[in-house]
Amino acid sequence: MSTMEELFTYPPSRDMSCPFDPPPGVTEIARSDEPIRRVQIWDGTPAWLVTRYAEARQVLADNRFSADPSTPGFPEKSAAYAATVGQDKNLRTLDNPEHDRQKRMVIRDFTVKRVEAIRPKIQETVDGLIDAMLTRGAADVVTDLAFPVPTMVICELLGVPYADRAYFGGRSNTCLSREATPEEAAQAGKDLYEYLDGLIDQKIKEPADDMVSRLAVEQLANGTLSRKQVVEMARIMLVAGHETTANMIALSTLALLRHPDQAAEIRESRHLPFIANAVDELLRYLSVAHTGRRRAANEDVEVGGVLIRKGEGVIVANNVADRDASVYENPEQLDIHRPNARATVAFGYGIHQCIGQLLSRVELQVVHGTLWRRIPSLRLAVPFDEIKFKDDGSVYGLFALPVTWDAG
Amino acid sequence: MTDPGSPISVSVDTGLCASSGNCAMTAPAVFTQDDQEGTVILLQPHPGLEEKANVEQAEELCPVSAIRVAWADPATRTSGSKQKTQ
Repeated sequence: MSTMEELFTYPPSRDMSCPFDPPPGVTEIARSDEPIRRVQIWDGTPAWLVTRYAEARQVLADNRFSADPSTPGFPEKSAAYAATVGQDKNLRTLDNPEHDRQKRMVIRDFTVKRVEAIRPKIQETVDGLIDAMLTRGAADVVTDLAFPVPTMVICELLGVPYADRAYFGGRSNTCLSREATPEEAAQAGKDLYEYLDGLIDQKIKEPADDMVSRLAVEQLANGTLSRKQVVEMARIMLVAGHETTANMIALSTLALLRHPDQAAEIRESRHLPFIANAVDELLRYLSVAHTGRRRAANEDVEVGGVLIRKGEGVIVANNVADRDASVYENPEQLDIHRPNARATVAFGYGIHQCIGQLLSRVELQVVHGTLWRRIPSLRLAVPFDEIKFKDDGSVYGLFALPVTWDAG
Repeated sequence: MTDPGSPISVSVDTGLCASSGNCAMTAPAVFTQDDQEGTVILLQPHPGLEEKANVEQAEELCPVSAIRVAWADPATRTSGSKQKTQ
């Protein structure tokens, strides 16, 4: 497929003078009269970019668009993804009926009831981390709160030792990085595979009350999942379960530091539905899984007046769709009172909507329901323009968030 | 509470359900989930009017359109978000 015109390369860079906003180039496409447009990705492969809310949901809900990177035309995120994560057959990449078959094996850990049942445990974790921050007198929110919360929660849920966090954390970061070479990413992916493969042996010998044990003792033993499938399930849960929420905690804390009036409202509130709405709005506004949901058409499908042909790739810019002015009033503003914040597509839509979305929401609710109340004078310890944004991977976030507060 | 005279009529398609839990999060008095498979269980096919906004939002949020809310009088209908999408 060749074209004389120069295609827009997706994703472009952000404008770092507006670090909470999606790249202006994509926002311009969304507001143009051509909101579904041919673009090219890192390796020059063309794909359709979908930028508005209605069409974003339409594509993500239509199973004629495959999430399997081996589908012809699939626009992979990076060379590193192509080398590792994209090779996995897991919940992120499987189409139906296999997707739903495997999802049903693990969904019991993610229901509303189950997630509410562990809310007190998450509260205890957050309280402990904030106690430690207060004792030390200064903190980096990224390392002292944002990463520990979801990492502890997912470790407990999966049965992965928290002590191994440096090992799997570094490798999972490499797998998601746009900067990693395919060789580095492949090695990191292989390390994670072997690590989890070894964990399965351990769980077979000494099963505990956790997801990996159940997969080993039930699905692996009765043959409904192969050993490789169990490892890949554990790997996607581990990687997706901590990077996304961790970066969201850090970035949302910074966003509220930049909107002190809204932080104050959260601090004063004891009303969980209000905190929950604030979290939904932060998810919409920040949309950290920011490099688009990738699909390839298995059939010709018309979307928003554009015919997408079988074998063509599609990128749904859900972060830009969540700024669609026909859905959200003043979409560029953070507004924790927004009545329809929950309509966010930050977690995706359709069968691949994030399996951990309820868990992630509760983690964020507990963090923001606690942090601002426990440390009312929380503020940046460095000038805002010294904050380094993590823009090198498929999850947007911060490298560090140094904060301070009034003693006593 | 269930109101036999309610103009609201909710139905769910468990065959379509993707176990996302959006409905049980948004309208917990009307929807819950199967503990094992996470699929929707309809607690109240005719919820009272106090659930109107919640069930409409649940219908709007369901990522696989497995929820239908019907109204005896369509004029009473409002939408959870500004734009109604299919």
